[in-house]
Amino acid sequence: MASESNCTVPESSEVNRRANPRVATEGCSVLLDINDGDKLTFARLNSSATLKIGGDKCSLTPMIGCPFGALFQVERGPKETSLQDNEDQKDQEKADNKDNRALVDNNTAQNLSSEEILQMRREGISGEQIVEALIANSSTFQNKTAFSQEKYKRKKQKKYVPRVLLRRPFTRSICEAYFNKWPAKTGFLRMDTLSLLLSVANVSAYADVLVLDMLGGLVTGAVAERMGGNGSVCNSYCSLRPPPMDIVGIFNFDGPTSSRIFRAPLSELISARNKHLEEFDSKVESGVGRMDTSVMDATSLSKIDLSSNGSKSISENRSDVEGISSLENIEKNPCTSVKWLCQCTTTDGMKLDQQNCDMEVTGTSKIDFLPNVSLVDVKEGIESGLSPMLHKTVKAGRLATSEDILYWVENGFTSMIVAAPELDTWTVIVQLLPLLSFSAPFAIYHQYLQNACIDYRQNAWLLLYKFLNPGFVNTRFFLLEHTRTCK
Amino acid sequence: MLPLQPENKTTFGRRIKEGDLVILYERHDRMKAVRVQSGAESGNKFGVFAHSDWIGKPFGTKVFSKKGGFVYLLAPTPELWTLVLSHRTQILYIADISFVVSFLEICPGCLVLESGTGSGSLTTALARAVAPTGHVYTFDFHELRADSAREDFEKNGLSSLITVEVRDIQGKGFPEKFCGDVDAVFLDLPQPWLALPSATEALKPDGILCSFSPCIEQVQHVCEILNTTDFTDVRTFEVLLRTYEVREKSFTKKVEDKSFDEISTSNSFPCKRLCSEVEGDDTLCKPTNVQGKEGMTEKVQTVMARPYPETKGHTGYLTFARRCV
Repeated sequence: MASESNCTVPESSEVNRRANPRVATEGCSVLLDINDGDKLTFARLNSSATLKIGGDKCSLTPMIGCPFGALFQVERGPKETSLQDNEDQKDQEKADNKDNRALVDNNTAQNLSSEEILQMRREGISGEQIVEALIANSSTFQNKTAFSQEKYKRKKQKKYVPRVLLRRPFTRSICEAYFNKWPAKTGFLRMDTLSLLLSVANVSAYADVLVLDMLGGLVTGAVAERMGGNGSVCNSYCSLRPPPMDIVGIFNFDGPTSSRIFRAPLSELISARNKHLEEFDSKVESGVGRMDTSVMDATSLSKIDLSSNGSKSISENRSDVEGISSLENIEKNPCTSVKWLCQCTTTDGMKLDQQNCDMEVTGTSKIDFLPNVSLVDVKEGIESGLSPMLHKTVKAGRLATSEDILYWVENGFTSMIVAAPELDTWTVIVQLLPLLSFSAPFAIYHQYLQNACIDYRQNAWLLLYKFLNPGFVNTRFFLLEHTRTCK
Repeated sequence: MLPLQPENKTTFGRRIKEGDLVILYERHDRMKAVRVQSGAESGNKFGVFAHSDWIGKPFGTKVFSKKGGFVYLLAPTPELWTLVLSHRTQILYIADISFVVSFLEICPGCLVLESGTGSGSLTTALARAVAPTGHVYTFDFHELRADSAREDFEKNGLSSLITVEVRDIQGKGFPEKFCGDVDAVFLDLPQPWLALPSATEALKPDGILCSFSPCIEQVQHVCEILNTTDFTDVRTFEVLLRTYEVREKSFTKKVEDKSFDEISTSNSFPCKRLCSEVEGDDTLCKPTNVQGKEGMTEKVQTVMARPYPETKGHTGYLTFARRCV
């Protein structure tokens, strides 16, 4: 009944292998997941790299050349601690009718003393054997339910046989690691929200995406990953110096992908756009060339006034903005982790004024100013057939040249993502929107509701469907008959 | 729909031309897809719109009908396509689609298998994620629906990225030619566990599988099998979106006004209660903005958000698992 397929499977392209490496090579960055998420740490796989677990250091060299997803266990020998391959045994759970009525937690169940355990370690007895000894010397172990026995065993294993999972740095794993361990660095951006941002902003290959990213470069990296070396992502900033973008370095991007990540101050983009429109207007007035009047109507009205005297509509908005900023911030509820996401689409541009765009950004940590890398370096690198370590030689985030800026100014960005917790949303949007092409989607993220509410009615041209989407994600683990909700 | 050719990118210079797909936008929950044909007309409650008026205009333009009503002409994106496509089956919406695309960890150049195709809502987003060098192979056991989906992809310029095949994946599994080559597999089947063995064979080590199931019993059965076979990192998610409407509202700062019957919704005047409890302490009783001003009648304008009374409920559970190395 089913028709035979008549197409061939394309061989895994060189592009895919290079851009999406499945093997941890020397010098690449990795995410180490210790004991099923108890500890997460990023590392660079150099020959001298080490990992500290429970007071002991072990070398990461055994991981070089291994596929991502490989599981290692830490063995503490008499002389050194090392990583070894782990054979993950899947445990079969059986339901039983036991319960804990006889259990008394008075610290007498374990017959092995801590001195004896320490002696075993000194003698070089493996962690697994120590765990088995603990189980054998536990007077209550046999009376526990199967689930409880498994839980006990895992707890002991985490201490005596720690496991390290070699995870591939990808948008998902990087975002989740930061959200779980260092959420303030990434503005409490959760992965489901980030995935919505990427979808709503229509991020794809050949797109030109404008990003205002004050989350350490997480959003910039996520956009660049989806573009795969085609198109461009411009990380723009309002401050005098660019905010840090170090998270981009964790992605292991290859040369072509890194080369499509640019930085440009917002003031330069805006002044270039104004200059372009002035030249356009003067050409129209002097009758040079054939001009499409519909283009003139659309573009001449989107000129941005850089003067510090804002229009009346903006000064009215400012009072709204001040009103917003004086409201108390919503307490982040750790149970529901509500995030606010605003999605809009531009229509044809209309007249717009703006405030002075120089804003000093406060609260940023290290300033990561990356040197300018020319495109020639990248091309030469590829032609010489360098290994996947190529990405090390091309740093992402080169300053956009005037040609790059001219391209964006003439064509417009195809979409925009704003993730700037330190900035006032309304003021920022007003400056950025004229840079977007017609019908371009854009998305705004802010962890606080008030700052994500932009007053769209002041400018009729803004937004078509606009809604705030806090996402609720329930994670559930299924263990046969046991189901629990996780955060 | 995707800017695979430079002339189709939505730039300042891009103009609507004959044969283009536009999204006729009335409001956020009312829009439809229209193929531009000179001489043709489209009608809705705002009037009749001549397509020839649209040709030569940029996307995003507001166009008027003969009787003065207007709509917007938007450029199509996979998100808008999901909202306007014809439903031949129940589809996935943006919350689940964006989640799946991200958690399957796909990027340009990846190879993805999907079953079933349904109406092609997710397939379009998958194609966007793997373009231009990747490919999506999508399977459906219903020949007519597979044909309709194929036609849609052809019209939307996606047929170089998507191959639709008629095949019963539950009965026959995925074709063997995919052995070990696939980056991600998505299953939207009534009995997805039947497809797991061939999905396991098809996936690369560390590749990701996703199963979408509306019922918890289906999820439980899938997880049972995943946990005992060559999969790890098994996690099940449920994604719910809540939409808020945004309004500008003014709140009065009046504290004492006998003619003011409404309860103030302002939340920053605890001293209102304190005034009656604390005696003789003027600093507590006086709202700070009232001192010496006409502040008693001042109003505060703020932008506020309120949840929509109706929200989309449960669609399905998304179970993700990683092929063991």
